[in-house]
Amino acid sequence: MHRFLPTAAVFLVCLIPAAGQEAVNSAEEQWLNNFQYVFAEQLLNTGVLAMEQGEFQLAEQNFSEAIQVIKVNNGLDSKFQIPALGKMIEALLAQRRWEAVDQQLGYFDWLNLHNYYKNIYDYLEGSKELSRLFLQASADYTNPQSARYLIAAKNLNWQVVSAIETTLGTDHQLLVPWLYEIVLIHSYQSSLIKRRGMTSYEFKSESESDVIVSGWSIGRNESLQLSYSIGNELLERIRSLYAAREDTSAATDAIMQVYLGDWELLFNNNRSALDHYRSARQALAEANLNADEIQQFFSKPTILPQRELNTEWPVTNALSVEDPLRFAAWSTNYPALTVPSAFDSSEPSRFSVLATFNLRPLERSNAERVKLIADGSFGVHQLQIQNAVPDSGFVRDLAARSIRQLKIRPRLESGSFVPSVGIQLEYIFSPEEQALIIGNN
Amino acid sequence: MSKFSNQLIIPLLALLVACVIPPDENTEEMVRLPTDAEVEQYNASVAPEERIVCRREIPVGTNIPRRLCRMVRDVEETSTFHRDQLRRVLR
Repeated sequence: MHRFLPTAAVFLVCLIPAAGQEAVNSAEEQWLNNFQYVFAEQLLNTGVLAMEQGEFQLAEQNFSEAIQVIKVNNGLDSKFQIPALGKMIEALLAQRRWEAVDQQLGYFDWLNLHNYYKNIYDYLEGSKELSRLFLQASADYTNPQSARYLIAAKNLNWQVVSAIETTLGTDHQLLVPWLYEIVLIHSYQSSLIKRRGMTSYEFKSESESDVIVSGWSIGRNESLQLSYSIGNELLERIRSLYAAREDTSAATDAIMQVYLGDWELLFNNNRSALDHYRSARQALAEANLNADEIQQFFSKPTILPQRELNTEWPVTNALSVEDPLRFAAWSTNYPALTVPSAFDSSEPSRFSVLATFNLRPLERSNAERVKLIADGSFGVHQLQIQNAVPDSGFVRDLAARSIRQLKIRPRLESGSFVPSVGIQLEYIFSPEEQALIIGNN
Repeated sequence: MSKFSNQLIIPLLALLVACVIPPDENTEEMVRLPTDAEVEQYNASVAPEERIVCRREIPVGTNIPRRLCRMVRDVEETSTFHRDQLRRVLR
């Protein structure tokens, strides 16, 4: 009996601290429970519901708490914050709290850069979302720094291009969508330049935050020329990237020439555009592709610029001649330009019109009156609004004004642009136009 | 007559070539200036003061425009210097 006493005593001595430790662990677990990862998901879902109900402040609070939980569980620079952070910025955008938006976009940028050092693919995913948020911030007409966010989106896209070139190589196919996005941003930038004469970028010294360096600015024409030149160069680069692929086809190269032609047409270089279209048509014919499909491809007028780069033949998004064209307006900041590819434009809109018009050459007097329209340009004539939802004179006028500004590639026949009669177009109003319509009614 | 023609044609050709080729053509060939897209890509990743501006300018003494690239910091410093000089002269 006595022989076992020391052993029992040692056992008890060991047990007491263990029990104490267990109690501490239990208390810690109880405290940690508030930050269990499952709560992050719950908070995220609650925030999404609040957003759907228009309770943006509550949504913002839920997303913010979700971010805190993720930070506790996964670390301060965890990539898992990104979905909640993106949604929180959306909630702030909905409230038009520009200062907070700017702060959170800066945090997103910092977080995303940490991803680059860990995993390039996470960085690309994060950059896609950040670029979308920059564009969303830029699209709001009440945002005083709209142009700045557009340039921020473009710079981010360039940084991604540099990252892909450094990590994966200068001829990597992943470059294509990012390069095309930069081309599209240049078309938005040109729209700003034409209307506002935005001729200089912001040069803010980071070392001395109060100093604005604004030593140079360029004229409107020079700025437009720069955008044209960069877009052209990037489209040529995309073309060469496709050409270097093993599975490339003559059709892909021909479609890239059509995109190059579209770019020329957007900058009113009608002759150069025609040269590209003719060359593309010839290349498609020489590739022994179905003649009817080629005819159909060039028979349908197309609204420019095209939001997506589709180089597969036959082009799947080419509508039949009878189908109405569809145009989803993005923002009054960028009139006559469609929603960027980062945004979903397939959602049914409450407010839209169905219009018919003819597309024919602008008369000389009109061409002279409208600046920046080259001779031989095509324009919308005899526009009629067939159906408007909601139907009112204001809605019809608003749609007519916007439709007349669209840049449309005319039908091509025998190597020339030809007029089209009775084109049908479904025009979907931008969120701001919808707000205007509600305000007017 | 033909000797006279040669004497006239050769200097004329030389003059024509001199007008067409800028004097520093060879230097430009050796140092390729960045394209507009390359400049924009570079500018997207550096501090504002480190950015480059490329423009077509007509240098003094010729009517042939040339593409020149400068750093924003240099442009700033040059214009500050010129402003100071002008103020000094006007005082």
